[in-house]
Amino acid sequence: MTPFRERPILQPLSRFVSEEHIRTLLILFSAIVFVFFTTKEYIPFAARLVVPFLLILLMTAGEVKQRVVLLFCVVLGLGLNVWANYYVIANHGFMITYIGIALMIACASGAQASAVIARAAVLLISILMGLALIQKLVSPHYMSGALVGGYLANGYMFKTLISLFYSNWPEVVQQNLLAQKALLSMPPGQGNSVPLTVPPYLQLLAIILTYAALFSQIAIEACVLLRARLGMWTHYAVMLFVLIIYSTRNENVFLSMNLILGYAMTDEHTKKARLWYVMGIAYLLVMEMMGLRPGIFG
Amino acid sequence: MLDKSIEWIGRRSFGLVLILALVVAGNVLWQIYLHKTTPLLAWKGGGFGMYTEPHAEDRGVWLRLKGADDGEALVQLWPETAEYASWRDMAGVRGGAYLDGLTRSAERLLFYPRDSVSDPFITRLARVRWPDTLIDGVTPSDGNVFAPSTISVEVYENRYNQAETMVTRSLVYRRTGVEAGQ
Repeated sequence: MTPFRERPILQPLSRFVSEEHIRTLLILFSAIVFVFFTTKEYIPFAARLVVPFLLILLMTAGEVKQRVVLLFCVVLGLGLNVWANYYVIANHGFMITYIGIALMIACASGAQASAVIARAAVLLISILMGLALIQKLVSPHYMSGALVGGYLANGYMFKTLISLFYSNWPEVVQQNLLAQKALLSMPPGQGNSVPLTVPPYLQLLAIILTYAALFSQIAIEACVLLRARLGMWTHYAVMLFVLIIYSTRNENVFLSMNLILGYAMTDEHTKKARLWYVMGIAYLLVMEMMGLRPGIFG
Repeated sequence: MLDKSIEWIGRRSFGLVLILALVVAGNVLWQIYLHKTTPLLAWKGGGFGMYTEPHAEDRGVWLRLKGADDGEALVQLWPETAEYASWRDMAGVRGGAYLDGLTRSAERLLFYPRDSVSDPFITRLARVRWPDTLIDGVTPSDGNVFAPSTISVEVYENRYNQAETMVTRSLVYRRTGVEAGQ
């Protein structure tokens, strides 16, 4: 039987993304920046107008000098956006800027570009995942299960799945949301708390999910640090992480940035993973642009 | 010049990547420090503390206005109320833009409420002639408008308690005009 990646229709894509590491990275980076710039309302109009044209030039640039200069211009746009909206933009605004800087440095190194970007990706993933893990461990709110419990109670997670077992769940969720909205709009001093309706098994599920998320983050951190021994398993872990987060929250742009870092980490021994990363990024960006999400995730 | 700069970066690429990693770690640690010592949201400031603490959508911004006759009015600025939106829509082009600007500023205050942001905000609020419907007939301290020293900006946060299955609202930030020496 013909392997999936060798099927006639997929073969050109498979070969390109497996062999052209840096060119594929530049295309993926351009696609993510394009979606980021066109879907976030706080990006200034001028940046939305200019950056897409820079990205087209970047994708087609072949020389080191052209790539570095264009990446510098795009990074400048990303950096100015971070500077202007430092306490307003989502964390992936920072993340894509770091990725852009790392790509610029890598492209300047010419023949060593793949090795440099792989090193940068490992550092970025391990630092960001590691410090995000610490943020969870030092947060009493998260560790009590309140964050995940609140998401379940408000229908932000698994609303459709839960309603398969508990038919009144959509109405209960709606009541919970209305109660909190009313609390937020109540003049200060006229009431400071509202009870929510949450079945006991959902409270238990919240605790299980809270610790499952912690352990999965620890596992990914370990996989990245032990990537030389684990090989492809490191990439399966990154993809599994993305799949788990995708099933819980609509974080397409952020998840595509995790995938591009995973793609950047691949080498000659693990380049089989490259096609999966590219397909994952393409899927997430298309879904983000179209505003779609599989109904079962709610 | 450009070629030399690129060559310089290329020769030091592994070292520069390491410096980038240190900058990233520094940024995250600084954000964690700010989040733990100020009302900065865990979600903002590049610290990757999202999905640990309540989001900005769990916060609300209120104005406390002290009147001339010891009366007190409370105005909800965020989430925007239907009464405020209706007043803004009927305030003409310039007036509407001014009131819309106040709403946008109130929204930004959700992420990182701090004095350097709320002081100029209070100055702008002190120029507003509030309609009776919003201030419940309280007489402004300066006749038509409220003096900065009589205006307080307050940010509240809803927080879910898993053990009690209850959401509790608490004050996370308050700033009164007089504190800014206005």
